[in-house]
Amino acid sequence: MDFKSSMLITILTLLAVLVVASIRYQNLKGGLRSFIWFLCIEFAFQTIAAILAEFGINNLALLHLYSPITLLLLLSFYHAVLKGFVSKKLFVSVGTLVVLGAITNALFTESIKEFNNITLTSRSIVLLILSLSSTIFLLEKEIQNEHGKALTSIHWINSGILVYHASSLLLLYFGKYIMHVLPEAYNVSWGLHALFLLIMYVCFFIGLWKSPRL
Amino acid sequence: MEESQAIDFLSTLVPFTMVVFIIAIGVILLNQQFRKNLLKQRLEKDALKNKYQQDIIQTSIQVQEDERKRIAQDLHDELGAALSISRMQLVQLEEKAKNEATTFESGLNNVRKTLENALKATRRISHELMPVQLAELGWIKATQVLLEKAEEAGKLSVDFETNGAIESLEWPAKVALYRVCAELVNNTLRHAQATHIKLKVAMNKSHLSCYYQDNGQGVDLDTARKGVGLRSLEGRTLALAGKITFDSAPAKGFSMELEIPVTQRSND
Repeated sequence: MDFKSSMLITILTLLAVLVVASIRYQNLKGGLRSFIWFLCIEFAFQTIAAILAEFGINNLALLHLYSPITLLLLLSFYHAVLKGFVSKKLFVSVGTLVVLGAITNALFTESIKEFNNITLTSRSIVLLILSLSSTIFLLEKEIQNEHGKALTSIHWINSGILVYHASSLLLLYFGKYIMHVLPEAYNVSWGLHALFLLIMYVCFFIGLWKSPRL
Repeated sequence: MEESQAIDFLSTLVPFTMVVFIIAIGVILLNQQFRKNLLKQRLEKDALKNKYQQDIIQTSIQVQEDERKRIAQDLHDELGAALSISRMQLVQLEEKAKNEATTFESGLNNVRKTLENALKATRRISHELMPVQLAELGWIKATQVLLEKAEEAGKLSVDFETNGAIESLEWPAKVALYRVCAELVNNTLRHAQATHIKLKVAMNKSHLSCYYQDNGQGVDLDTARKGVGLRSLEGRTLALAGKITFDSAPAKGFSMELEIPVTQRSND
């Protein structure tokens, strides 16, 4: 499967997730509502990036914006999920640090026309810490009582985030080495990234599909 | 070439190891903060639960005190007054009997009527303290009488389901269950404007379950919990190590579910 087709499939899957999200929006509360905003921004970025790529325009500048913005939205989702158990100050501090780091990185280290390795790695580290911890935290009965029927949805969404960011971090670090050793593996690396992105969206789809109905 | 690959692999592996290390530290620190807050919440919840139980016990004591006060007042106002009047009438009769024999008969009649009233008052007080049907005819019959009275008083229909096993329940549990039902029926009649009551009581070897529902105007449970009524029900259930839950909302009726563990059964 070529790069263009994989991009199209992921965008269409994301669109399906958004359709389910819009159907269920009225029934969603707290964390799941803030997650919908993440989906909208994600869809907007993915679509613009695909269009720019189609016209052969460098879309890496978009990635410099995408990383901090989506991280802030996912921080807001995790804040809502772990409300009362993890301090709000921690989320605000982490969000501020990553945003400042992303700006500094774009201005002084990796220009907006380059791939933003540092910001993406920081984003993945933060999201992996949160998703790994949440997997354990969601087993506590206090959190389960807090979220009630929405717990299944949160589990699926959290699992999607965990799977994608764990794999993308591995690809980010070992992709370069693999390409150095096996240059023909470049497409495989991108294919794998697209596959894990698709898995994440499928998890989101299932999560929102299983969200409580009135 | 091999040396260059080895260096390249190392330059990938070392930062990756550092990233994994950072993630591990992050997870540990976040976990610590989470556990700390979780423990804090559990302690707060326990304190709240203890306070609530204390409130229920205090309410139960308050209910008992109010009941005693009411009984004392009834005895004083009704029975005491009737007996005092009878005594006075007898004293008057003693004096009159010395002079006029004709008024003796009507005087005795008055004393008899007063004593009859006193007897009625005694029966009523005694019945309110412990319904005679409960002791003599059993829980099912007493509850049927209670519901029939509710039907007559409130112009509503009643759906009552139970099994005979309930009669083998321990006496205190039987009385408590009767009181709970009486309180619920009373609340429905006084506040709910309901047209239908459903009462379902079932008992097996391990527990007794009771479900009560009316189709009245419902209550805001947060407000209702501040009152004596629901707390008194919770107090009675707590005393039997049972669980009670209420479900209601304005204009959506009221329902209660109660479960009492049945540990000892007697053949009374």
